[in-house]
Amino acid sequence: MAQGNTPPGYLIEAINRTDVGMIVINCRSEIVFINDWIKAHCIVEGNIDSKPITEVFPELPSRLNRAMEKALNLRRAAILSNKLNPAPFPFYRDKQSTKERTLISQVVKVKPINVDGQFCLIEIIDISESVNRETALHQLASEANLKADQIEAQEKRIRGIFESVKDAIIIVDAGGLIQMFNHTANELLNSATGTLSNINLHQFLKEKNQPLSEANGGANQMAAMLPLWAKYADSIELEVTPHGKDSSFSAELSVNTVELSEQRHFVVVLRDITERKQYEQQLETMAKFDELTSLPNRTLLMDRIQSAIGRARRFDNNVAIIFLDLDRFKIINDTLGHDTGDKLLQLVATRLSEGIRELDTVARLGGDEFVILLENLEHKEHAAHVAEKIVSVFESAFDIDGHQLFVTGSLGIATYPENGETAYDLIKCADTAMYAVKDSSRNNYMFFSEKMNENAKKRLELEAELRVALKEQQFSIVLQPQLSPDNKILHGAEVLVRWYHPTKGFISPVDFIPIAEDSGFIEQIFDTVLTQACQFLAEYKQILPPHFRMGVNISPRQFSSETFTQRFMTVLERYQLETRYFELELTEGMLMKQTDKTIALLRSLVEKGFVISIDDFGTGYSSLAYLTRFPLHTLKIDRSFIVDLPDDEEAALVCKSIIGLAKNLGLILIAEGVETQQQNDFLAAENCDVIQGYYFAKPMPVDEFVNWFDTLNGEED
Amino acid sequence: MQLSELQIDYIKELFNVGLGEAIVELNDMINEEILMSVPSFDLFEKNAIFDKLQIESGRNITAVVLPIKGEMECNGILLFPAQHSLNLVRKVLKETSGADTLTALEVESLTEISSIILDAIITSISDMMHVSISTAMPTAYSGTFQDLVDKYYAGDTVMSVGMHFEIKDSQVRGDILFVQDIRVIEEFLEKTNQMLSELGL
Repeated sequence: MAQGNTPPGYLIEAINRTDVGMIVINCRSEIVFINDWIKAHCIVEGNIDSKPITEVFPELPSRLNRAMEKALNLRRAAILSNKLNPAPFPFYRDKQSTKERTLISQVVKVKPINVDGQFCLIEIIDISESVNRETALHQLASEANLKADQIEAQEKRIRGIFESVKDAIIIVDAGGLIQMFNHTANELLNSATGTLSNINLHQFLKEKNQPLSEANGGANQMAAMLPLWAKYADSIELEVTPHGKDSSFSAELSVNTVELSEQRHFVVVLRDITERKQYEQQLETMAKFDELTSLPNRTLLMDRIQSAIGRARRFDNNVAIIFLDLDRFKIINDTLGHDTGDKLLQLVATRLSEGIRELDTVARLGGDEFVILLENLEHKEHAAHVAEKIVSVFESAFDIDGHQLFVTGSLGIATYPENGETAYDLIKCADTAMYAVKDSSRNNYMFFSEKMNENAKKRLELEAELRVALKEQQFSIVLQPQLSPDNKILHGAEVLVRWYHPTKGFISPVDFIPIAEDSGFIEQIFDTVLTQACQFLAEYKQILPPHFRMGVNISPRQFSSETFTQRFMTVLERYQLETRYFELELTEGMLMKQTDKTIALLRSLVEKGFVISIDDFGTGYSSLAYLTRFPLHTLKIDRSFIVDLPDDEEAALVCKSIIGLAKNLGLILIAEGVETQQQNDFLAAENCDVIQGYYFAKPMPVDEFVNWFDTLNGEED
Repeated sequence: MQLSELQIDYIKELFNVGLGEAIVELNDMINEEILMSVPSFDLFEKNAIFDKLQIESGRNITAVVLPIKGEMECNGILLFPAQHSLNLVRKVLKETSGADTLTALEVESLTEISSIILDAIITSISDMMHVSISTAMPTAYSGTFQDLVDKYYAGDTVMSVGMHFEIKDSQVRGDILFVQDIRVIEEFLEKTNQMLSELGL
């Protein structure tokens, strides 16, 4: 201490014990006092007393130097904050250890003292703790800010998703009160923005048309349902009634539990599935109902039959299946067009639906096939009453675009439990019974019997065997001569097909031709017949009479085929035969359909050199008009008129008329099935041109025919 | 008390020259260019302070108070609207994030910066008036404007020096206020007029 008056010891002690560093400098900047704090933290070696402060601490910042100067010269106080001057003095904590020592963060205050001359007090305050604390706080704040930024960004993203999804997202508390919701929720529930908060969700929901809000305390129910839905249901279908509306829409809900603020909440995702429902319903309708008539289709029918069988089994009553097929529907379709056919089917569907009990089902299987399912019948005879009623619905005409159409139906009936235990079996039996009606009378009904089943089975077997027969060439032709009544001139021969089955032997064309016609084999069979006929002609045409013709039977299916002519010509070309050798035998029925097209086809055939004859004349819808319109050459009187000749007056009269008609029209007349001399004599007397029948010759295989012809020639000679 | 244009211009210039020293000092410390200027100077009665400064009495402000001792005893006060002080400190300290109020260490820095500025202005005044002035430790104040006025303004007349800071493209407004007895102010103006006449103005 440079001054004379020594201060009291306690004051020195107090100054030395303070936690503030104190340096006092005189007007020459010489250090005149330092307290113990400075000694404890200053690393400058040696005695610093009375030395200029700038020498002791040569690296003090200029800011501090200026502040000290100002204090001494201008008596100005100054503060040097830590942030702008972190550690002006080289003071350290733990200064003994060069490794551990740390620079003290300081605030320095420079104060002028004007007592006994000009001095300057420099206070050094250790604020390391504050700095550390603030640094830590700052770091925490930065981290928190960063986190807050991240959370905000995350929240923004989630909000974006939350608001942009097309599903309504609603967060409700455990009791169903709405806490949070997105834009879609507002829209779907038809609420003004923001007004959904704290409304209970149950107010919008209905289950099976029962509003949840009315069913036994909706809010309670909601609170009970939410955890169940969340736990056990993937999705729930409900009706949602928007705010202030009477109508509701179908919605699908999925519920999930979520913990928010340590309380259980539920996230309810609600989707409007009105469109999907409609689409599903449409699909179901399409899958189960017939588009044309709106009647149940086969799929739905099978379901219903199966259910009906189940009920019948439980309640011990009967089920009946009526299989209905319209008679000659194909002709209507072919002649009047498919539009008319479709309209007819619709009218039939309506009449059928009106004619049955509500309990029963009318279904359309396709084409012109309908099935009527009758349930809960006490006696199966009741099915007969219904069948009669159905037959009667066809009694009055169907009016289609001004056309009065009459159509009838053939009905087959099968019953549970007698005819089968499954829907499939019952339909099969009813179908079989229906075919039995077709084969006999049409426009009638029949119950299924086992015998029908056998017939149907035979039919199926035969169809399979036809396929084999074609492959193994089991078909051959026979020829039946056509002669002048005096048995002298060979006019030609009718070609007939024979099927010799390897095990069953001879199978009549009456049995297999209809099946071949139905199954389509007829065209292949005809090819075989024609080929064999051509082979015969090619071999023997030299010895046969020059005008010799072979009559071939053309089936309806062949005749309506687009490729008929071409197919025929191909075979002829293969054998280099002219068309004039062939007489195409058609039936009246074939000529009645599609008249214009038929005339054109016949004309083209005649132009090619074929001769056209009408087979079985007099049995069909004989119309005199068509005889003049078609380019015909020959009429063949049906054998049913010949068989009663000559004693049956009516038959004789018909024959005379037909012969007269042919003569007047310039047509050749052939009588079929002539078996006796009396018949022959009668026909000869009436100037019939040609005779065919057992009286002169039966149908013969080719070899036999050649021999027969040789013999005929020999007699002639 | 009416001041002529000439008087005002002279006083502004006087303070600007004084600020030059403070600018050098601050630039040294923060290694960043600071521009400061005095765009306005005014004298008015203390009760007109709220109107003149257009600061409502209840508004929160931050201020640094420098007690002035000696022949011109008063408080020199540099005050900032709260957000401006925060901006100034953060710009100077190059800190970008943090709390939305000043921390203790930041307040200290604001105090240091403000005291350097106040010191420069006071030095200009004392130089001109040939008076001896000393200063005590500056302290920071945070609270309503009304409380500040009640606590630190002892005199009846306010000498107001408008301050303009510019640092790193951002501009900060501050007001330096001295509140004294009218006698001191009149003396100051007399000195001013004397200087002006010496200059032949």
